[in-house]
Amino acid sequence: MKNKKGILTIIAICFICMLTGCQETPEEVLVKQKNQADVADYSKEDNGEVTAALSEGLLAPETYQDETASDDGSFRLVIDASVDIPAVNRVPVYQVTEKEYTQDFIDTVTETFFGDAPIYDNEEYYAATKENIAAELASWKEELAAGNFDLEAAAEMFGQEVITEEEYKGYLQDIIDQLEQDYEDAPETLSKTRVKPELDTEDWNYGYTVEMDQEHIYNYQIENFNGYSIRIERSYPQFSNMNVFWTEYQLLGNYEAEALAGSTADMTESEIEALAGMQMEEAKAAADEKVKDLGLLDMTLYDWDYAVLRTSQEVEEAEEEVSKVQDAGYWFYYTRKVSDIPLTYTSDWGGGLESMEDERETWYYERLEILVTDDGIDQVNLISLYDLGEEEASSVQLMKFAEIMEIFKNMMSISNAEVSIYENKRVCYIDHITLGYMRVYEPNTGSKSGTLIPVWDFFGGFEDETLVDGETMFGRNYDKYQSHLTINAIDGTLIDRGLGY
Amino acid sequence: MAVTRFNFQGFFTNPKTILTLGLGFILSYFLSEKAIMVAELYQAPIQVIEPFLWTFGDTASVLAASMLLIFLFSDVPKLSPVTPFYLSRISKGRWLIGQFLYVTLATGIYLGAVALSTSVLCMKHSFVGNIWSKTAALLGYSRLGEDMLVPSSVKVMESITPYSCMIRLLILLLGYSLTLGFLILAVNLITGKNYGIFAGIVYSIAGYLLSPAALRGITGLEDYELYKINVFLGWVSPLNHATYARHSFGYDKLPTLLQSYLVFGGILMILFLLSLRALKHYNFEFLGR
Repeated sequence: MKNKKGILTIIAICFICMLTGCQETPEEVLVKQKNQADVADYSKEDNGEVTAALSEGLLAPETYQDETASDDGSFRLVIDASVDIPAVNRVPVYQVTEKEYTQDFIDTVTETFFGDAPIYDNEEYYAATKENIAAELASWKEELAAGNFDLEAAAEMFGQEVITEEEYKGYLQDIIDQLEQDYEDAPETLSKTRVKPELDTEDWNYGYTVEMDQEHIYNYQIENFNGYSIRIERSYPQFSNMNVFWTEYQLLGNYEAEALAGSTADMTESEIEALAGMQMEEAKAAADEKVKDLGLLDMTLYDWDYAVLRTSQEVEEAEEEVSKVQDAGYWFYYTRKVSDIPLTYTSDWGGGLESMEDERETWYYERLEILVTDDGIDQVNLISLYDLGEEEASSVQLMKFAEIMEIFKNMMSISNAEVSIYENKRVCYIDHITLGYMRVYEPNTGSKSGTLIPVWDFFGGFEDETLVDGETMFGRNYDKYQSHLTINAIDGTLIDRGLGY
Repeated sequence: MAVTRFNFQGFFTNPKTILTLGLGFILSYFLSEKAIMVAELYQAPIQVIEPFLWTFGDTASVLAASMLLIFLFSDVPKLSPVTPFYLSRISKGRWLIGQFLYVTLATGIYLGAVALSTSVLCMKHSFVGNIWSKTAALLGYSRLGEDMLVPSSVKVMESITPYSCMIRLLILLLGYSLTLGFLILAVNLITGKNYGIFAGIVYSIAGYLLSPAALRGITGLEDYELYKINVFLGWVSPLNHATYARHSFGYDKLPTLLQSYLVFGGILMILFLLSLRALKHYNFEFLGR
């Protein structure tokens, strides 16, 4: 009995200590609950009256300036931004589902971009002939016979930290055995058979090569991964021994533009236009025509960028990579416009996972991007198109702009909390605030259905300063389409664009 | 009740109980230490029950905590010279229900002790209100949670309040502990020896040790289909059923809480029937101590 009383007394003391030691419950709720029933809860009654413009209702300014810093000063947020709000007076919420690609749609895409140009299956087009394999086989045999191995390079090639001579010889012999087997099966010459691109529901990725002419060869890829996607990309066989890549030349915000532009700042806009050999309007007309031919009438131009084609090649004598500008053009980004409100274009493709243990089937955001040069269409990304479903609510009540900004400033400070541990300082500049639609997953309805909801996005760049081995390193980053934070305009909850909820 | 009461005789003075609760406190300290460190570093308040929730926040933490439960329940059913007396006065089913109550209450005491430990550890910074704290937000929304291995899932926080989360977590842990305790009991009864502890360990780590890579090799699934293996593991591993964050929040095909409750209920029913059957043929050996 005495024992029981003792135990009860200890427990009671602990509880009292626990409670008396407690702080007051904060009034501010930082983590808001996401409740899917909210959309209906936030519906506004439509009494037929013409209401004020959305920006007036939200009490939003045309521009917004503010500056805040964390307590220890390691994180600073500088906002000097334009505030972009669609010119509407109501914001509906819509359901969306994945657009099922059909053979008709594939035919339309093929016709739009390639007409009746010959198309070949990639596997056949790039198959190795006996001659190709014999050449490769000879080079490996030569390497094995020479015996003077660079084991450091060999280890790197096979992804190992170290490699012994015997191990390397074993690997070489395996390669030679495999190539000898391939040689037996390889054709004498390439036999290219024209094919018609077809929607293969079994295979998740299948590719074709299109020969418009000897100089215009395209890779035409149809995928069913994170939703249906079609990608078209021009090959540059003349640069076959180099890295070839297009970079966006972004029109920068109003701060330290040149420094933040990085590697693309070595050309002026007029130089790019001269290299492109065409004006933006001309390129836009070409891209618009393709969008019209595809029958994607809901898609409108959201923004555009200059694009620069670069090649890079390692020069052994100089022991460095030499980069050259080869061409220029224009990227056009199209997004769906629903009830006069565009889906906000960001550089985030979505389809992300919380970790490799994630159990979700993912879905990319809808994207339509077209790269135009004076040679015609150079690249196309036609990713995860939506089918617009029913209107879930005809008009929803949005939080006031001031409330959203309060959440934004608080949550930027919280989401950058690690700065005080890992970096000396970080300054985040916001130059563009946008209200637009975003697709979020609709819980319990399958992985390819969602809801278009209004969200606020905050765009800009950042600079950071880190101490690495006693040396201060400076970093700069600017991507005008990278949203630093996405906030649900209805209830103020945060949305992770990578995850899609 | 008499059986349960009998099982609890000397429970708090039993070295095994003292060791389990002591180790439970040490475990709570290690699992909540980092969260408390963040609260101190950022001078941020912490909700009193949050460290307890993070102590059982992922499968690794639940596994660590359940190892102590295996130790605590290694000797169920509690047998003594008076056991034949009970078995001659009450039905075997009622005797088993007494064991069931014992496991339930012992689990409750263990979880209560862990909750108390974590609450006491963080009391300097804690508050009792039913909202997630700034520390939780710092751990969830920044890289801190991931880097410090604190399982503070944003998905969980944004779906439920701390106390609601605690109630659901307690039900899951109770379901897990009961199935674990009854598995040990059933195997001990069936084999007539203390092999139940091994069955308990296998039960706990089976799902944990099933590697997605190995399953991928067997099934031949592509990278992008890896989620199917993760979903499968989410269903077959009892540890996953016991972990709140490894449930469906509407975005995947993991079990819902209700489904996990039913899974535990089903397992428990089977184990109860097996124990009852084994009890009919069980040879009680008493050494007269």
